Amino acid sequence: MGDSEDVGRRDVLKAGGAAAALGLGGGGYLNALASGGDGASTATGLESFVGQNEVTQTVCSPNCRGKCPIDVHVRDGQIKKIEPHPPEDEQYKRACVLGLSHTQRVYDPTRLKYPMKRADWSPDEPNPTGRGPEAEFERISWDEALDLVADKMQSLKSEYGAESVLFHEGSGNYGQTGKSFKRLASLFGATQSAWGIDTNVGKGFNRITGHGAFLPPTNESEDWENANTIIVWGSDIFSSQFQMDASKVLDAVENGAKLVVVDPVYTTTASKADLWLPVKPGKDVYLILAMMHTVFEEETYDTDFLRSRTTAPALVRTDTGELLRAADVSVDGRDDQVVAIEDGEPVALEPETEGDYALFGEYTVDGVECVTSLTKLRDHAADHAPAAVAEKTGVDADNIRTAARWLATRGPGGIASSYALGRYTHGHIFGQAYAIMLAMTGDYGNHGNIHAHHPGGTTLAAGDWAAPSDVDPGPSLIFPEYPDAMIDGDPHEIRAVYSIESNMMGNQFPDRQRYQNAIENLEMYVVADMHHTDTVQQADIVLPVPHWFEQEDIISGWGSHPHLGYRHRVQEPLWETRDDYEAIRGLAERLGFGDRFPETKREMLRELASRDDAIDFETLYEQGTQRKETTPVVKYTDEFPTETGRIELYDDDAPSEEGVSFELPRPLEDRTADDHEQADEYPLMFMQKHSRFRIHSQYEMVNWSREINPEPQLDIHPRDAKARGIEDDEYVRVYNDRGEMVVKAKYNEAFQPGLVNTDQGWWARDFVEGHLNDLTHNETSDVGRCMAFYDVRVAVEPAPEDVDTSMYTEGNPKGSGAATPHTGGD
Amino acid sequence: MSDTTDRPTTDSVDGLESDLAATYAVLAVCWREPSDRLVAVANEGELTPVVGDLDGVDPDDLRVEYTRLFIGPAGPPCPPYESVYRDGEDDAEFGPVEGPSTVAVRRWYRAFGVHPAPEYSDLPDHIAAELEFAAALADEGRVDRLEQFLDEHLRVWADTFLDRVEAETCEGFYAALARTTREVLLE
Repeated sequence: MGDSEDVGRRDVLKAGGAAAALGLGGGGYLNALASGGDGASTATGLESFVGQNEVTQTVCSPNCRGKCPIDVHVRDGQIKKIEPHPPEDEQYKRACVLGLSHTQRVYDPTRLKYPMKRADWSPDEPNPTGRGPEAEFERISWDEALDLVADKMQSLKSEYGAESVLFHEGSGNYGQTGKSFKRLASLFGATQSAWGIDTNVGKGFNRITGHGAFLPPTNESEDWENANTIIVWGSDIFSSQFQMDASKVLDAVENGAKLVVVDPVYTTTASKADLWLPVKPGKDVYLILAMMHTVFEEETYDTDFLRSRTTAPALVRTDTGELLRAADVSVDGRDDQVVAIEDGEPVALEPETEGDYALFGEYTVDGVECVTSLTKLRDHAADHAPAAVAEKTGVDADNIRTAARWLATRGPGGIASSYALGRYTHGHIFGQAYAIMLAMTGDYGNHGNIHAHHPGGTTLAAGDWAAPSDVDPGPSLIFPEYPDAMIDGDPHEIRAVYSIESNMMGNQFPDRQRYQNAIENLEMYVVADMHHTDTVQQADIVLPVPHWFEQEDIISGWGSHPHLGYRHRVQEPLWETRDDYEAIRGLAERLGFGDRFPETKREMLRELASRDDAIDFETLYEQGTQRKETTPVVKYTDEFPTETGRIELYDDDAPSEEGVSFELPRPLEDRTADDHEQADEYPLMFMQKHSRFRIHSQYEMVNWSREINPEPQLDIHPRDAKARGIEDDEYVRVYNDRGEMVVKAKYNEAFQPGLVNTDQGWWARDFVEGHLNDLTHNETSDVGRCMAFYDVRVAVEPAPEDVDTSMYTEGNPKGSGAATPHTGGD
Repeated sequence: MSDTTDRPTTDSVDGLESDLAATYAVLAVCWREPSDRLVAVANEGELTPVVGDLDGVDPDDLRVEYTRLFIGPAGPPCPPYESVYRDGEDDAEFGPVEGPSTVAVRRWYRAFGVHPAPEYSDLPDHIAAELEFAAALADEGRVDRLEQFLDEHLRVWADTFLDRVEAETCEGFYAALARTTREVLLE
């Protein structure tokens, strides 16, 4: 560069030549600014005075248990404050401090701003190895971006078939856009994503009751105050669900309910409980079998419920282990009906009938020897007496009995089961087991019954809009199947991914190195997001999405409360961010499906709302929330959608895993097993619990929370730490056969010896080395097919001397400005 | 402040004021995303007063670097917005975009009869937009107002911003541009 001698006075440059060459004369320099016209009128809100805010009611929209209606206060054109806004039914009032921090998030200078293309990517030469932390990007226009994506989709379709394009949808934006995403995928014939996270427990529960996908349905939270016993199993409701569900649990406690918490961790919720059962990781099925044992021993089961709504009296053939069918013997009834003994005679068991059926005993029907299902269950539980499992589970036998006694004898109650159980490989067995336990105690269909740690809430029923009945959609892949499809073409090849609402490569998927290897087989990776997540850094095409306050939508209250909410736009999208719907519609036009998508988001929302008879668009739009009156408060009041119409205590058509068959809930462990082959090499179980500072990895960049939660840490019991020569606050290397991470160790007696934890939700830039998902694995069980994030073993040692921890130890940078660009997304 | 009655005519603008206007106008263009024309002009040597003698400017390199420094998707390390450097709660953190400083800049624009152009998708307190406004004030001979605007805005935040650019960039163009901009504004 020239020095100042060359150019003379520096407050004025000899810039005339440059100005002329650049054509800046005659106002030619104007680009950002325009004169005259309606300039004054485009500046909004500049005349506000103190106390004069414009207030817009909208909805916060991450995948949390809130779905909170909020008021956004705008002054001088700026969002200044967020406040809770009670929904139509005020007993569901709610909000949390993360929601209030949107004033920071919406104006975060690191938000994605423009469509971008990886500099060394082109449709014909995708250079997949150019992805990763060193990738460089160019800004492109929306038209260029959508042209590139559509053209590449078409060429992949002709070369490999439409199913070689995977539409991956996460849970990061609780609106209706996903339906348009699925609609386009269906029309194009793309592979669609199927959920492979947190589905484990629901699968087991569903096998027994016919209900449940993620967690089973449970009474809406307004009813929880009627519970007399609440067993919170594996959920820190008071910490990670804030007051929305916590307040309902506390209402019950105030009314005299007993609160039991089963958790390997002494959580905030455990600290408020009447009884804490500190189960060892993965031993939950043993524990609940011991509770069943107590109920059998003390004969506190609900005889009437077992007779009328379960298959407890159904006979099981001793010769085959199958249920005796009415058609097998001379009993009046259909071939699919099971048989019970009433007054000494075999009868076909109808749903919802109150007969004096024999619950226990051995019977011979037409020469076939049988026992009742409940007898089979009792015999199974007999092997798991509290005293027999106490050592294995880490729970005192008397406390097991007390918990079982409270649930069985104190009137209505339930088990607020959580996703955490499903984060162990065979977590579906727990789903099966507690479905049965609650059947024994008769806790279905009554006020005060609880079946999951969050209520059911409600959704918008839009019929076949997402999967139009006139088209043949492509196949679907469960998340954990992605790597094999990308790497080996099993079950079919995936050559491109279009991802929305998901930090799949950072937080949501395990075994990060394997997924990074897998995406090297992609010719195109399109990622839409609001922020520069680790996933965005891996993208070939980046589509910038506006903040929730800049896109209108209808928010379902799934898992939360029985309202739909209208997310009104508070301000125009900043920069060139665009609602995913606009991108999807733009692609649809280019792919020849433009006429299948309403022109505007508003029209799309109106169309979807018109399909749900319980909702009126105008009412929802005007009120901001509308309670869906068709959502029942009390669940399980009707016949169970099983073959018998009853809860099926004994499943003679049960699947099996590793030689263990699940007619009854038989314990099976993966890496938590005490004698697991890696138990010596990697002696510690590794959990990644949800924290109060994140919703998955959202809010990572919010400075307010980082002030008190600045960096990832390893929660470790002092005994485990000292045995390894690890000081409190010392950096440690956590490793196993897949990878490693370096984080700060934190002595924490809330975590039992043998169990360590790093809260999920951190991005790669937050780790001194590695990432917590370098430790987790992608192996699933045959039945659960669900990512098992907690079924992970690690070893821990002091970090090597030469590890560079200066990002936290020098100058203590924090917040979104702390990252240098090269560490952004790896 | 919307007094336009005493605005000098183009004829009355003397050489100094033209150079002043040209200085800010050229700086503004240089802080925008690099256009083909900018690269061509740079390679013709016409930008020597701004960026010194560079040994050729590669358009792709320049664009990638501009994107990395000021747009993203990672970071970016040097958000080119006034409010980011002025409106934070803590000097160690980036402040917000669309902060109180942004509102004040908008107010300046409105008072002088200009507003963000309809096709302009970036923020009004982008360094290039503020320099452009400075050029407009200079072009109209409003030197007193220019000084006031510089004192209230560009001079307050440019130092921190330019420090970051100089620390971050690996392109001679932006290192030199940062240095020259600092000299024009602050020395």
